[in-house]
Amino acid sequence: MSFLFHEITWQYFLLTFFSCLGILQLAAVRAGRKYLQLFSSKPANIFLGLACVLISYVLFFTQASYAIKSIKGIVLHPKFYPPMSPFYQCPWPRLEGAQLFGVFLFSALLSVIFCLFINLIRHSNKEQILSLASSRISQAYEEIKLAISPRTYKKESNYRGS
Amino acid sequence: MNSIDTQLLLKLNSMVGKNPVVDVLVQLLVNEYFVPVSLSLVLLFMWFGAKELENLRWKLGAINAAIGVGIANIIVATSNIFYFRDRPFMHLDVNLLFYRPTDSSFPSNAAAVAMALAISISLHEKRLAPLVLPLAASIGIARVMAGVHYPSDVLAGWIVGVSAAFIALLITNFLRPFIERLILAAKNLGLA
Repeated sequence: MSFLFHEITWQYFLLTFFSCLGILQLAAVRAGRKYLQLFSSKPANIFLGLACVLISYVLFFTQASYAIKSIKGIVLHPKFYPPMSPFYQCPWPRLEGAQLFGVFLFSALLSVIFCLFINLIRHSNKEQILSLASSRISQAYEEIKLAISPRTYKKESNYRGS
Repeated sequence: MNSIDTQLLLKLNSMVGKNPVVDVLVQLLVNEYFVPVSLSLVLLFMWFGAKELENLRWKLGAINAAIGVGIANIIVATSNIFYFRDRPFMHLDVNLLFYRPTDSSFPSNAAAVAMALAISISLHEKRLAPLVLPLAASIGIARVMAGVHYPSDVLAGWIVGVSAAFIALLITNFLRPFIERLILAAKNLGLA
């Protein structure tokens, strides 16, 4: 878990969190999902979405700690390298594939929760939030029980629309 | 075959180190962040951005892509157990625009994963194919230009990616009732 303390992990987390937030806004506007939109006006959500994606991309790929050492056009010739060693390490910090996937998934989930949380606070009082959350959780639990139930597989499809 | 592979590598690799714009572009595409994050964002858009009629198809596409990536990784990891190929920079006079990876060069894992994602997305939404397929192809080409893969590694990676996407399609269709229920559960929690 030491990768969590690396600077690049946090930079990558910020890239993925803000770009996911931006994409969520664009997706929510397209699909008409009001519960994910941070503003009530469509143009504001589209602007926020595009700004989040563009700014996080530009900042990460020009300023992040991986970029400082790699984007400046290092064109090296192999004769300058020492012989390949089993102890060779990448000269700048990097994340492994599984770590990249894990951080992305966490950021995506966090951005969805963030949008849901903002909308719940904006549109409901405490009682409404609690009752809505408990009914939604119990419905979700029923669906998961059905998903793992053998009865589900006797029918061609159980999908009830969007 | 080996000679064609090497010649093509040297030809593509000779394009770097001359023009800073090309170098920056290759370094942007070759790293493990730009293409994978962009393709993953397309998946997120498919999951939450689908309209009424395309809702299930897009969500199945996103799940197909996730399963496809898993299968592509398994195929590449299994292949690496049986066959290890040195990276081109260990034997050839190449310009290197990337760090020196120590794992097997064949097949290209990045090309396989990107192609599995792009094919899975394209199978479920043809309109996204012109966006995702060139993006997936670019990481493979950039890896050859940057001197970390032979063209045959990338070609093998693409074949692995395409195969993984179609295997994932079969699995997604087989598990469809289960997946549909999970989508409904996620919808109740506001996660779909």
